[in-house]
Amino acid sequence: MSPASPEPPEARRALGRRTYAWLDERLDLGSVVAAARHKTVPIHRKSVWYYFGGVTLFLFLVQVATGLLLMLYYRPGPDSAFESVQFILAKVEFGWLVRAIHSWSANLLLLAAFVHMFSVFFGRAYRKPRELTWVTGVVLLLISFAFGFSGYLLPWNELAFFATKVGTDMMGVVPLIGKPLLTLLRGGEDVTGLTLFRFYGIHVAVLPAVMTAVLIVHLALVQRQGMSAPEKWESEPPAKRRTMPFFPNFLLRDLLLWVLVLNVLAILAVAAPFGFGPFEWPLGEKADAFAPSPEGIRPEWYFMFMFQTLKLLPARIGPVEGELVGVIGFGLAGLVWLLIPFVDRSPKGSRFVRWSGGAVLAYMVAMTVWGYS
Amino acid sequence: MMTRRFSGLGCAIGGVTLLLLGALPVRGQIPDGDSCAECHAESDDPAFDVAAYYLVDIHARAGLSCADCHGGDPTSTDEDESMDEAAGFRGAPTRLGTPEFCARCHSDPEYMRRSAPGLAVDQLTLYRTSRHGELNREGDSAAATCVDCHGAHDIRPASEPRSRVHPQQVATTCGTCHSNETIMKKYGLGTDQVAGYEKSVHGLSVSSGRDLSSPTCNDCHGDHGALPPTVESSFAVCGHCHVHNRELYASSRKRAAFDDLGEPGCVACHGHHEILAPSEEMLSLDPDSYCADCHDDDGSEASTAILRMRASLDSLRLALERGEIALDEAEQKGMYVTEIRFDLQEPRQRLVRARTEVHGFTAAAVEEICGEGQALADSVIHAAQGALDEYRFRRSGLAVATLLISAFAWALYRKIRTLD
Repeated sequence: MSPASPEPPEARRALGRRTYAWLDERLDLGSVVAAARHKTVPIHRKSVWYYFGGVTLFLFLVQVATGLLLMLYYRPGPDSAFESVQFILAKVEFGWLVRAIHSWSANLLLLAAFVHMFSVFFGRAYRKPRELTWVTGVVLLLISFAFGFSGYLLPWNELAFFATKVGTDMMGVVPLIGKPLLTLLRGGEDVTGLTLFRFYGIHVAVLPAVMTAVLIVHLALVQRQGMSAPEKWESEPPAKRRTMPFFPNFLLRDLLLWVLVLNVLAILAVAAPFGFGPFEWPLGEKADAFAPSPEGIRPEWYFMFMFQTLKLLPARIGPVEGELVGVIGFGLAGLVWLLIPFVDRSPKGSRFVRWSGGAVLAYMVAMTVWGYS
Repeated sequence: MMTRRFSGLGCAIGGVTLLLLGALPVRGQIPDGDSCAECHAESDDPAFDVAAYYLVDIHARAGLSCADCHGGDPTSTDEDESMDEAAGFRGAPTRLGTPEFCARCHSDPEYMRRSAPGLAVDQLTLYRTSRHGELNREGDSAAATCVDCHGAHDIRPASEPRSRVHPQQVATTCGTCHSNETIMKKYGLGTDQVAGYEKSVHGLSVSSGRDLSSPTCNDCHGDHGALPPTVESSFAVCGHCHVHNRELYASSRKRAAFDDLGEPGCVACHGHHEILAPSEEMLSLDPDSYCADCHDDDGSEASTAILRMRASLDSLRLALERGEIALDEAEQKGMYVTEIRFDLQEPRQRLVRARTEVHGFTAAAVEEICGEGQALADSVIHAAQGALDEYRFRRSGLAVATLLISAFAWALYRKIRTLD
């Protein structure tokens, strides 16, 4: 029997053309490709910030993929969750890698989302007509927080158990809705196995569904309205405005960055499967409600600025509990942040809003560093 | 109208509540109408620290007043009337009379059943068998009585860390007299027992709070019937906790030999009071070792057995150390080795068993247990090495992946440059 001769390039190209034609006939791909070719991306000094949205999206896709793989072996429940994570780490082929990438990717996702959000804020990319893009973006960040908080409990280890207890306790101080919300989330008065089941359901079903829906709206808005450009770029005559085609030039750049981020993820996962410094997730001991709370309970780094603030507040501020003042304060600040496009409506941008945003960023960084020092 | 009625009702309820709360006894508060407490509260003498009594003493917590122990009429404010011996006033006991004074209640089963049913009532009987009790009977007022160990008016439950008889305080309590050269000189006793005990494996275990069930003075010498263990009884005393060691020693050839020599079993090798943590080094024929007191390194059956036991114990210990080092290294490199580390418990347990088996003085038995432990330790070392190999595999895999990703990234970069 003679060996099969390799297919000539012309034949391969012909097969590709035929497949495209078959799909085009049914899906009208031509209009999509034409639209993509027509779409351009502004080129200016701040173009680099455009890529962080794409990186956040890529890391979300990594989360979905690794999360699905972890679900194959993870078994929720107070008697099985910790053991199944142990099993994933010790027995499942490349289980350690999947878990490490899931954990690292979650942290990098939050980091990229923060960078993306502040670059949008300081570039005033939220201005008309992109108010809703900003709102959906902030909602996506809040959903990412919820992902991080609910996922932290799932290994059912000592640190996660007590950190969840402290975190949900804070929720309980909110007047009127605090207690019912706490009971609903915990499945009772205390953090128990029921809480684990609820957090698992929220983490793998509720949040992904909501995130996907909001993400589709966010991406649709970006596609519909195009990339926001600095006011200076927009004020230049059309002939002087530099742009690049979205497809393939910008998309290939995005892809290049995604590939590099993937490599960074791989390096981090192999070098530090359980993280290091503020990014640390040791499995440790199994959760035990009757054990004394371990020393050094602290939240994930992205909650640290809030945790540190609440720690510094006195027990009472006037007639009100200090913790309540802190929780309500953060709630109101979040609401203002969400509504920034409607607060800053002046054509040139409010200097007060810009400086306030700078102060918020400086405060978050300072409190986070303080929390770890 | 309605509001006024409700506010009146609220005031009435509040007033009654306050009255009821005021009527409840408060810990540390001197009761009203107790003339003993009221007069003695004004005294500067610490022996009459009435406030401290009502704050901490277990008897006060049980509701006992001064008159319950000392007699008299606390309702009378007249000194002669309230402390009238004809009316039952007993006053403060003498040192010699203290045991009987306390025993009025503590040796009365009927009374103790009502107030503290879990407490023994044989303290006085046991005390009389003790050296302290003997000296007391002989009229030695310096001999320890109840108050020397328990205190007089500030007696706390033994479970409270500040109690004189809490495990962490017992050595200090005994040492008050037994570490005092002036007091002990009269009895011809040394004063280094507490200092030695504090350095011992038992003392360190108790003082660090690691294990409060570790023995302290009263666990070996008895509580109320305090007597030093004799040569014969030391074996039984230690064996009370070290059961396997005792059984092995009892059935060994050594017991008869030690008995013939008049050597107290356990104490001969481990000492007393300053019992340091044992180690393999104790099994040695070096001139300053315990074994060398009787055995020379002459190739005899006994000396060979000593060296064989030592060699097998050392070998297992080193294997465990190698396993620990390999696991630490793997863990430090980010490998998950918790399960493998758990497997190290079995060979570690074998080492404990083998060390215990030494008390049977049979080399073959020690070697057999060490052999089992060695095999288990070897499998842990093998698994730890596997984890390190896996780490190297991961690094190689990462290098290959990085190479491929970099090549792809380079190709993308070239493509972008071409497009631009």
